[in-house]
Amino acid sequence: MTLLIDILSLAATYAVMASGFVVVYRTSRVLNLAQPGFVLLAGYLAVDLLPDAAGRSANPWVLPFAVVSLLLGGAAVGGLVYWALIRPLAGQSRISLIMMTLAMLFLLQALTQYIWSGANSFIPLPGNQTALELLGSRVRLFDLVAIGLGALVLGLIGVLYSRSRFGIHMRAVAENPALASRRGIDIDRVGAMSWALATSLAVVSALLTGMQSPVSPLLIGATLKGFSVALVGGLDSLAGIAPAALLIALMEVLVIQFVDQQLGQTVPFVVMLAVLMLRPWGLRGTVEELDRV
Amino acid sequence: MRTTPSLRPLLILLVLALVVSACSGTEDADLTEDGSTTEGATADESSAAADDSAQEAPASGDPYRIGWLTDASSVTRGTYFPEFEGAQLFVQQLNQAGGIHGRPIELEMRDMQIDQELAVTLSTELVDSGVLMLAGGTIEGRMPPVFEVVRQAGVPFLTGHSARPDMFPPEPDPLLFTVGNVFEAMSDARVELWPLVFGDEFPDGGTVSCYIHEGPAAFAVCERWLEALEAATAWSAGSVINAPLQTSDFSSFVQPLVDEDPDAFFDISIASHAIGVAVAARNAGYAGPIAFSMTATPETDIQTVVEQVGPDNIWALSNITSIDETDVPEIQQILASAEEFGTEITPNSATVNGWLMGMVIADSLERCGADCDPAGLRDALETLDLDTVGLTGGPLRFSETDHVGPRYWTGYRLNPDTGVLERAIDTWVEFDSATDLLSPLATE
Repeated sequence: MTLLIDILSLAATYAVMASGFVVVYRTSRVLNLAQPGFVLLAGYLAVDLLPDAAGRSANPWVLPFAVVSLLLGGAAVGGLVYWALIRPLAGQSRISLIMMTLAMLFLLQALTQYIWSGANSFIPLPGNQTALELLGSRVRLFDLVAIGLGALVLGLIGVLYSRSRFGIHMRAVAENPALASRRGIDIDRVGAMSWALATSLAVVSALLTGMQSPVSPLLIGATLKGFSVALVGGLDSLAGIAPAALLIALMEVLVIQFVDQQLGQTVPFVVMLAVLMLRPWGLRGTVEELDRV
Repeated sequence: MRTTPSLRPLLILLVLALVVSACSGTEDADLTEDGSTTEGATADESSAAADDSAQEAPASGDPYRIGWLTDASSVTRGTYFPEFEGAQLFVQQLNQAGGIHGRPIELEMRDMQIDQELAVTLSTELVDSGVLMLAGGTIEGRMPPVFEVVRQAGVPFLTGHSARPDMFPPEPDPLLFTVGNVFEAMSDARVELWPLVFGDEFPDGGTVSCYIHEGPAAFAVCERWLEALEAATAWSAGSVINAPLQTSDFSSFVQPLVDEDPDAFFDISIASHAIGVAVAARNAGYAGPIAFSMTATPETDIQTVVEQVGPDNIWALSNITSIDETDVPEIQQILASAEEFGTEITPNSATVNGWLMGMVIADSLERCGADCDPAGLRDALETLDLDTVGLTGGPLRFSETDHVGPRYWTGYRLNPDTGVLERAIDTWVEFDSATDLLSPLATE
């Protein structure tokens, strides 16, 4: 049971990280390499802004208010980034857009280093030691929360894309921006919204990783595992995220616990290489997308 | 050159990234103090110098320039930057009290983070600018190219925590010195120390698991120590955890430890890793004693763990007096100096180690003379014989065949009521680099 929970909670974290990459790629066909930087920034902001135990006991509403503020703030930053940096590059080559996100990553990395000086700090979340007895095993509440949150996030994104008017617009822009534009869809609004969604997902990713370990510059490397999950699932495929995250988390945990602790860290990238060699478009991606990348 | 308007944001962003990166990466902290002379820099003498600071004129004239490499802004800042701050505090106090031969000591800090290429660039710049020696450093794997720089320039280097065979007895590199050694972690001293520290809790011994981050020879740190402990005491070896440095989620790594439920857990790693593993272990249900190595996990990091998982059953082994021992005169002096001059990081055992390094440098400069040059300073370092008993449990000495010197180890336990580390034993166990370092190396 403990092993299963370990795998599922890691898969949930990877899935949320991966969805940040996929959401942007689906809409704007931009490989968003800045996403790990947003996760790191969100992590440090969560450390500073979320109330500690004293603050929570003084006013229990401060925590949900701070979390919602972070999510909305994250969304605002994403929208702003789109309008200020991505939109002006419309019509430029894809490599220019990728370079832009890479520059953003370096900037965010340098900015967090400048402000927080490489600090290792825990996000003050309540209940980190609360555990339950489940089928004879001790299961940490945070692991269950992570699994639930991961499933909820994927579910909400799925509903957003398949059921809402905005989701339909996103799909239309993803499939044929020119046609979508002629049909009256505001491409810029859709682009800004997808970036806003991705940076909000960066906040959720930071909170999920903060449930397990301190926020530190190492978070950049950890988020890159989310990128490998996105590639394995298919960069343009929301449906591919869950199986890819489960596959990589399963293999990683099994290798760490039963084969070699050192090798565990290479698993996401080995799986990524294997899948890219056998099925370059990913588990659930579309073959046509290969030509666009 | 004309730039396509739509590419301008990209260029602006690139420039911004470079500017911020440059600003955060190489902060300098040059210190220039004024003053006159003190005679010697033993613990007592430096204390006296500080006490007399009100009467003495501050140091003045050309400073003795010492280059200092540290991680001021990246992932190991918590481990290495306080060391610089400790040396800085000592130097500031000494300069205020008159300096050395009437001249101030100036520490020129450079932020190498844990970047090997940056370290080479900065050390070359410092050596070319004419510093008398270099000191500090960050994680061991990044240091060998810096040692090459000092070898070429003939400038001595003093580190606070080396694991490099270059300075091991009996034939140390003539230019490399250290006041601490990572291999102490698996030394006979700690084998001897462990049953003393846990004697009251586990009079009949028990099982102990060990954690170290992945790195050159790091795995041997745990393995060799556990083997030696098992051979020499009633304690038996549990599992060894060995997570890569890029790990940020330790849940899977600690599960074998939690399943095994050893009587004690020795968490030797550094910074985010030591605290990450400790918190993950507690969160996963391990309630036994967690012992940190304070050379890598100072009190401030231990406090971070306590904030997350509570103060119960937290221990520490140390080769330096804890900053929590406020009844020790030298610690009082460090705290007073920190109060007067300020530090970015709350003083901890790494600050104390830096203070010790400051003492070593000042004492060597004093004996080197008014016209000290790098060669003379090297010779002075090699004949170091310093009374540091208040800070290290015994004297610190270097010789032609030993650039590590003896160190002494003791144990602490966190008092859950006060949140302060208290001595678990009154004694210090001697670590003899001449003998204790050789058997670990034979294991590799």
